[in-house]
Amino acid sequence: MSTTQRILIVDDEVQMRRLLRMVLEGRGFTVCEAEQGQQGLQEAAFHRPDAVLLDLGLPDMDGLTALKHLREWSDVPVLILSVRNQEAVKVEALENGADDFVTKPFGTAELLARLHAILRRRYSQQSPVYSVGTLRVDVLHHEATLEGTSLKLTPTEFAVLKVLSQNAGRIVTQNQLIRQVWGAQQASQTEGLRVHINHLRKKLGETGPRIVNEPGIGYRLVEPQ
Amino acid sequence: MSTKPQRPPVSVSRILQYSLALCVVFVLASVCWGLLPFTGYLFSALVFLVAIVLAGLRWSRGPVLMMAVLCALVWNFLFIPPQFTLHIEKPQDVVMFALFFLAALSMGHLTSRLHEREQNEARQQRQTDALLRVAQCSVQAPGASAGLDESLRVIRQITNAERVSLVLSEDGALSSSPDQDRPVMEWCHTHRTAAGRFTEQFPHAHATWFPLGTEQRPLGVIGFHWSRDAVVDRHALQLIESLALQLSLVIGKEKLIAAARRADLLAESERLQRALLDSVSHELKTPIAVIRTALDGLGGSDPWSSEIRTAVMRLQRIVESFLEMTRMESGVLTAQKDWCDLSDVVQAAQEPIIEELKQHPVRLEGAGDLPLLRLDGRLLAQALSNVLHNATIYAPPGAPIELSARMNPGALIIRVRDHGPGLPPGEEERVFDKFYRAPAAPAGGTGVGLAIARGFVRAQGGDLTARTHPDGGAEFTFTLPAETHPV
Repeated sequence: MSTTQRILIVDDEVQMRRLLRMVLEGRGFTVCEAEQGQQGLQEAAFHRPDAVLLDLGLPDMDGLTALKHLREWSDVPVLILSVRNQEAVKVEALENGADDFVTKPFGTAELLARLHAILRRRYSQQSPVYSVGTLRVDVLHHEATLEGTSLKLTPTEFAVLKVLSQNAGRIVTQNQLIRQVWGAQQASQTEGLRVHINHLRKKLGETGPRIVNEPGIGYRLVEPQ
Repeated sequence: MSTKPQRPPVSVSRILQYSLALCVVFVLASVCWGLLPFTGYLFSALVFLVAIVLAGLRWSRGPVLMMAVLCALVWNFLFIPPQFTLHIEKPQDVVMFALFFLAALSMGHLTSRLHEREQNEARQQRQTDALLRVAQCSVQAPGASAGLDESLRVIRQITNAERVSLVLSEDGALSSSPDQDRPVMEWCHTHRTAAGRFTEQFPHAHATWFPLGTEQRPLGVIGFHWSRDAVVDRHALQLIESLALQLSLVIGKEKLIAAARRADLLAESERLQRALLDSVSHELKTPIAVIRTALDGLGGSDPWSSEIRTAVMRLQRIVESFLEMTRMESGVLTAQKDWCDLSDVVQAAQEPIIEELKQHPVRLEGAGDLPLLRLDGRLLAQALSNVLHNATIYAPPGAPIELSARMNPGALIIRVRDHGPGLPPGEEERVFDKFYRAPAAPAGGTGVGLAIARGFVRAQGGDLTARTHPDGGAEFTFTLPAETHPV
C-alpha cells in the first residue's frame, strides 16, 4: 500500500470540489476530480483511487446509478456526500455498496473521520482481534474485554459487537447487521436487534466506545472523544 | 330491479280484431251458403279452416280462438244436416264435427303462437340493436359529455319519448333539477325501482323515472317524458330498463376516467412539489456547506471566524427549519413508525445542538428504562431538538434542562422543563404560532421551531402543549400514542 493515498472527488459543485481538494491535500492525500457521473466512472477506471467521495445529486446520472456501475467492477471504498435528508436514499446507497455517508453541510472533522474509517476497513487484514479504543474483541477466543475486564456477552451480543467492531467508525445498516448476525432469512429482526443493542450499550457503559444510532439507517461504533 | 307496469286497458286493436273475426265468419258463411248446392257441406268446413289459419297469422290468440269456436258452431248449425239445429244426425258427421273442432282450435292456437313468437323475436332484435347503438355511440363519441349526449339522443329516438332528462347524483344525493316530479325522482333514486307514469308507483306523475347505477354506487335517475296520449306497454318499459342499465355503464365509465385523470394530476403535482423542494434544498444547502468547510479549513480560533461560525450554524438551522416547515405544510410528510429506543431518539435530538447544550446540561430521567416504542424516531428527534433548542435560548447559562419520560397505558409522555422565565400568561398556545416572539425574548430562534415541533408530533397522532411550571420555567409536554414492545 503506497503512503500517498489517492482520493477521487465526484461532485458537480466547483466550490465543493475546490474545498475538498484543499482539505484532503492538506492531509497528505492526492486528489483527482470529476464533475459528472460518467466522467467520474472514467476517472475511477483510469486512476484507480483508494477511495471515492461521491455526490448523489449529479447532473447526468443519478448518484445511485453511478455507484451501481462502479460496483460492477470495483470494490473501492465509497463515501457518499448527500444534501438530502431522507434516510431511504442513504439506506439504498449503503445497501448498494456505499461504505458510509456524510450529509451536507458537514463538518470537516466528521468527513475525515469517516474517510479514515472506510480506508482502514478495506485495507486492514482480516485479523482475529479488533481494537476500538479500550475495547478488544477477540474473534478466535470468542471474548471481548473493556479496559482489560472481560465482558459477559451472550452469543448474539458478541456477534453484533463483532460486526460493529469490524466496521468501527463506519455505518452498518440494520439489514446488514441482521444479515451478518442472523443470516439472510431473518429479515424482520429489527426489534430483536434493538433489544441487543440496548443491552450492549448498558454493558459498554459510559467509558467504552459508543454505539451511535443513525435514525432509520443503522448503527456506528464510535471511539470516545 | 323490476318494473310492475299497470296492465294497459284492452287495446283498441283487440276489439277491432274481434269484430273483424265476426265479420269474416259472417261473410264466409254467406258465401258458402250460396255455394252449398254445388259444393256440399264439407267444402265450407275447409274454407273455415283456411280462414282460421290465415287469421292466426295476423291476429292475437283471443280473436282467433273465438273465431275457431264460432266457425265450428256455424258450420254445425247452418251446414251439417239437419240444418238450423245444433243436433247432428249421422254418426260420421259427429266425428267429422269433432275433428273439425279439434283442427280449428289447434291450427288457430299454433299459428297464433307462431305469430307471437315472430313478434317476440322481432322485439328482441330491436332491443339488442338499441342497446348496441347506445353502447357504440358512447364509445365513438369524441369526449366525455359528448358520449353521454349522444347516448341520450339515441335512447330518445328508440323509445319515441318526447323528452329524456338525466339527473345525476353526487355522494348519494340527487342534484337539483327544474323537474316537477321531484318526490317521484327521490323515491325512485332511494328505492332503486322504476316509478312514475305507466308504473305502479306514482302513476299520475309527469314522466317515468328509472334508477341509474347500482345499490352501492347510485349514479342518478333518468326520466322519460311522453306525449299526453302515448301508450307504453310492459315490453317498452323492459326495453327502457335495459337501456338505463347500458347508460349506467356509460356514466360509470365516464366517472372512472375523470377520477383516474384527477389522480394522475394529483400524483404529478405532488411529484413536482417534491422535486421543487429537493431543488431548493440543494441550492440553499450547498453554499452553507461550502462556508462550513472553508471555515473548518481556516481553523480559526480568532473572534472573526468564531462569529462567522455561529452565524452559519444559525443560518443552517433556519434553512433546515424552513424546508421542514414547507415539507410539512405541503402535505408530503408522513409518519413512518418503527420500533425505537427512546434513548436513541433523545441522543439524536441533542446532536444538532451539542454546542448550545454545553451551557445547559440535560438531565435525563426515565428514557433509558422504557421498552421499545413504535414511533417515527426521526420526527420525534427533530421535535425534541427544537424544544430543547428553545429551552437553551431562554434558560440562563448553567441552568440545567430536565427531560423526563414515562409511559401511560398506550401513550408516551415526555416533559421538557427549563429554569428560564417561563411563558407569558395567556400565551401558552401562541408560542406554537409561526414567528411568535415573546416580548423581551433573546434572539437566536428560527421563529418556526416550536411550530414544526408541534406539527411533527401531531403528524404521529400526538400533541405538544406548553405551560409555565408552578416552580418557574417553561414546561413542554409531549403526548404520543405508542405501542410498547413486549420485550
